[in-house]
Amino acid sequence: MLQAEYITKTFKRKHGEVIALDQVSLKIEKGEFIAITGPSGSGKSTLLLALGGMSSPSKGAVLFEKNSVYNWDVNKRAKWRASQIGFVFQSFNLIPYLTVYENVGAGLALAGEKNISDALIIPLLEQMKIADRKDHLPSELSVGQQQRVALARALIKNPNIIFADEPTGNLDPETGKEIMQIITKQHQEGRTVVVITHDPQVAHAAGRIIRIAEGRIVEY
Amino acid sequence: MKIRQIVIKELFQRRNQLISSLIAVSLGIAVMVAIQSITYYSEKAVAGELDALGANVLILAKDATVQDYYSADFQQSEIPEDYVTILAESDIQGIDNMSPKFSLPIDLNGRQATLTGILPKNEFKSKYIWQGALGIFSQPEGCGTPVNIPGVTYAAETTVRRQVIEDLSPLEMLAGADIAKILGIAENDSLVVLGKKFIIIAVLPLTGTVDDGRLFAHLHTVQELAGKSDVLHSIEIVGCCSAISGGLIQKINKLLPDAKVVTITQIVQTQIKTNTVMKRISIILLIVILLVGGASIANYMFSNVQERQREIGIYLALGANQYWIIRMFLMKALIIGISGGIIGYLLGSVLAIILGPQIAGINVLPLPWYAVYSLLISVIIALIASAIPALKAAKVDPSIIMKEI
Repeated sequence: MLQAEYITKTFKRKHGEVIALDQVSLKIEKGEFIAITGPSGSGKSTLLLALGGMSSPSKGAVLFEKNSVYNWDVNKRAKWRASQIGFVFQSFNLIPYLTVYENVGAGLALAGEKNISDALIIPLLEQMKIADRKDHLPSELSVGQQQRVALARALIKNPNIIFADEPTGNLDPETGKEIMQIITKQHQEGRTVVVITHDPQVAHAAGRIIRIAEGRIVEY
Repeated sequence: MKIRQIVIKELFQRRNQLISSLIAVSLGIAVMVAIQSITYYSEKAVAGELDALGANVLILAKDATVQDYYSADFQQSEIPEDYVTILAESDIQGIDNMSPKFSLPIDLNGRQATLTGILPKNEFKSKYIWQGALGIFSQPEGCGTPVNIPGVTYAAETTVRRQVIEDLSPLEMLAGADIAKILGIAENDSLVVLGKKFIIIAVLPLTGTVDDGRLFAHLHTVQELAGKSDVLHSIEIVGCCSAISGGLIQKINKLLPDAKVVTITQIVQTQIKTNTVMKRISIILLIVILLVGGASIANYMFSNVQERQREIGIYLALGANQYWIIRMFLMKALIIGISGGIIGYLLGSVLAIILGPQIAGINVLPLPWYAVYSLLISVIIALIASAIPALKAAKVDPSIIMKEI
């Protein structure tokens, strides 16, 4: 379904070139739950961005159903991202001036939905146990609630793939557990899930664990 | 969730930046609207004064003085009647009317008076005061051009008088208010001048000018009485106010090098110069507004893009394309432009209403069509100034969202 073929990503810095990913190849099957682990700076997030069509690799290709994602123009890639991928981030990345309802609605609108209504949004907010907070701004929510909003925003467009970058990294163990339950449920419903994590418990929820070090996959 | 809603929410979140940017644009537009409004009404006032004064440019013989003109003591200072033709056939713009005159000192029962020969139609067009007072013509519009009031029908008597006066015959005469009073003559009276019997067809209203002490007959009749032909003492010109400030006098001087060309409306001339200066200032201000307002919005937009890089990254991650990001920033510019234009227009109109009487001694009213100009200018400035920041925003690297706060 989604495949990285010998992707290399380098960044130019003042003191020279930094290799973030070094000839990484990876195949992700539909409905798979993968955990990517590794030390900080090992290239996990860079790999996730590359797989999500957000950061073009310096070399190699990312294929989605055998089509090279980075051969598409940026707008086609954006459309693909909007329809196929839901991102969840460690720091939630909610839009600070939009309410819970509007943040989730924005995810739907950018996926191309013209008729955004309560019927689409409220059930998901209820499922995430944040419906009573729908008119609150992110700054008025607890971190756990913020991550639930981020998850709702990612799930509202019913994506085939969920990329989660340290989704429990900023949460207390109990809330982290609840979030992982929601993510696991998405996998059980047939979605492909790729989670970056340092947490062994989170990693063990996945069907496959990939370990990265210094820009290379060292363990499948 | 529409782009418009997102933009409005964001604008209110960063309202301090919004307010400072709006102030810059609104003030610029306000100053421009104020100056333009005052200039507009000042020009109207000048046009009105010129209309009230009638002629504002005099052509005399080289050796004649303005004093000679007022005293009708021209002696031998004559100019060819051909000057009228030369002027009429020239390409000089801004001459609304010409009134050639020939004046003759006369003795009326031991009282010295002046008989002035006029071409009635030309004279009548130039003498707004005569027209207005007689109630025959409407208010003039623009630079001394009399127009009829649409839909107004004139009484039979008025129509007759108008036709009579416009067709001043060789034996007809008009009398100034003062001389008529002194001589005790009224309309339809007869008066013998230089052995010729004239009918007074109208006593002119009091004008407060030398006309009040004069008698008027057809130019060619007076020339004949003086034993002269094809010569004049003066040509009074109603020059359009903008043409006078645009060098009408110099152009006539160039065309008629043997004549003396003077403007008899020095006070108005000052006002015209003021208007010209104000017009130039408003053009300079427009350029300054373009630069300052544009720079202010561009600065705001650049810093806004810088501040919102992460947010832009989020939108990109959610599936926004580059056009969506550009639209978001341009819509913001549009909102600032429209708001700045409206606020600027309102503020400028209020300023003009307050400052008009103090600066130019005129009453100013808001000019509705300036609202459209204000909006257009403001929106265009905002959009142009935001174009590059919007393009920059569209090129934000979405991977920025991975950087932890």
